[in-house]
Amino acid sequence: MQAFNALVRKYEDRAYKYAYRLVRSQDEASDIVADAFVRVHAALHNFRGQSAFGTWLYRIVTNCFLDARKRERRHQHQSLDISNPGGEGELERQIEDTAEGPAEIAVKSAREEAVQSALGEMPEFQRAMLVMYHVEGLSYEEIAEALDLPLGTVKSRLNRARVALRDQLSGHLELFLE
Amino acid sequence: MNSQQARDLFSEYREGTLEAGLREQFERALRQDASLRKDYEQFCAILMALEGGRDEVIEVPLELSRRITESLETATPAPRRFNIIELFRSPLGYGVAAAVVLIPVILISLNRGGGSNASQASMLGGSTVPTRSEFRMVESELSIVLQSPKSDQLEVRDGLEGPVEQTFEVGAKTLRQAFTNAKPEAQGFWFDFKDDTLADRYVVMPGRTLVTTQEGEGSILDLATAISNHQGIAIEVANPSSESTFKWNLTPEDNLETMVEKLRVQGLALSDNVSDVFLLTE
Repeated sequence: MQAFNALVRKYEDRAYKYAYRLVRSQDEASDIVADAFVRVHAALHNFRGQSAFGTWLYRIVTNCFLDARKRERRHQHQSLDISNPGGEGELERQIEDTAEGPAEIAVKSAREEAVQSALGEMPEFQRAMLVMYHVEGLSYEEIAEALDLPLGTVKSRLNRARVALRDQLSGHLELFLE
Repeated sequence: MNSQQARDLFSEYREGTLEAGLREQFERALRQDASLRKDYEQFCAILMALEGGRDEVIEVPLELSRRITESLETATPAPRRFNIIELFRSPLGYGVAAAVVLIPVILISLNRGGGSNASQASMLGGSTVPTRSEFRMVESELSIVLQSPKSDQLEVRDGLEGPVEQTFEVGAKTLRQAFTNAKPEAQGFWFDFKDDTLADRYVVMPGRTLVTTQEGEGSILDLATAISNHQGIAIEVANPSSESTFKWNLTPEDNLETMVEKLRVQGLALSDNVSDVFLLTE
């Protein structure tokens, strides 16, 4: 159990940040990560090192996220965490780059806010893929491994997801003009 | 290349995955069409804003570790104390004792009888290749992952006794495939492993359209197809060769919960195995 605790300590931050980016709620992200580590603990004996542990963890966190959303849909309970611009997630956001002027920071912030809101409206699987690739920085190969999909499928789905994100933002495109 | 065709290639162009010929056509279209250029710049700005999320400072809650520990403790029951003396006093203990004596005797006699090295290696877990047979729905595709320590051939049939649509080699190397049902109505697929290294599976995939009223009578496969048409869900049939006959009357008011109840009356269960492939069992 000590070795497992060390594993938790090593990966909990990374898992939490990914989960938070998917759900934008501290509470829900913590639940997802706790659930993910329970599943990791139960399935660790099946992990044979075919992929990096981090990639395997992405798969489990993604499944926990999809399952949580599925349960939520069944209970017909709609979370407003993502679509509410004044929600909990916004309090956490800070801009690190202080080299930009206030106007640039405001534009950047407005764009990121609009993108986050649009992302929250997208199908969960597309959201997970976009976050994995564009925010978490996973390669196509790592996503294919994490989601158990052929590489070509990952590429084509990511293409579709990017176009879907743009369509989702069709009402806010003026924000993205130079 | 017209502007719509060029718009469809925004993502691939930005990622640098467009092949040379198309890339040249795309760049020509971009140079000639100011509106297209503006749209492409917007598209890139959207993805840059998304990637801006990398700089976001996300504070990990202090109580996260405690929450994980609590979840683990709840999920993992405390280990039971095992008393070897009590075990041997119980009737089960007599069986265990007999096995302790008999198993070495049997193994020794098998060795003398010329048991092959290969079969012993297999018995002792010589193979390290895992067995995987995972089916799940991802968006509207059935994604399958297969792996087997022994090589086998998978035939994918159109229905239980229909023609073979595709054939795959299954073995130690992980096989990943995605299947789509392009038909308007639900369609059953029989995944038949010729040497039975993996269990055969029958999955009904939903079509492109829903049919909200379904009334009929037939086999469990017909019933699964009717439910799939009605609810737009993928269904694996646990016992596709069942000879039982069922009746169904699904109305537009029916949802998954009412359907599960209707099925229960007929001795059937429909459960979601968290892979978006529902399991229909008799």
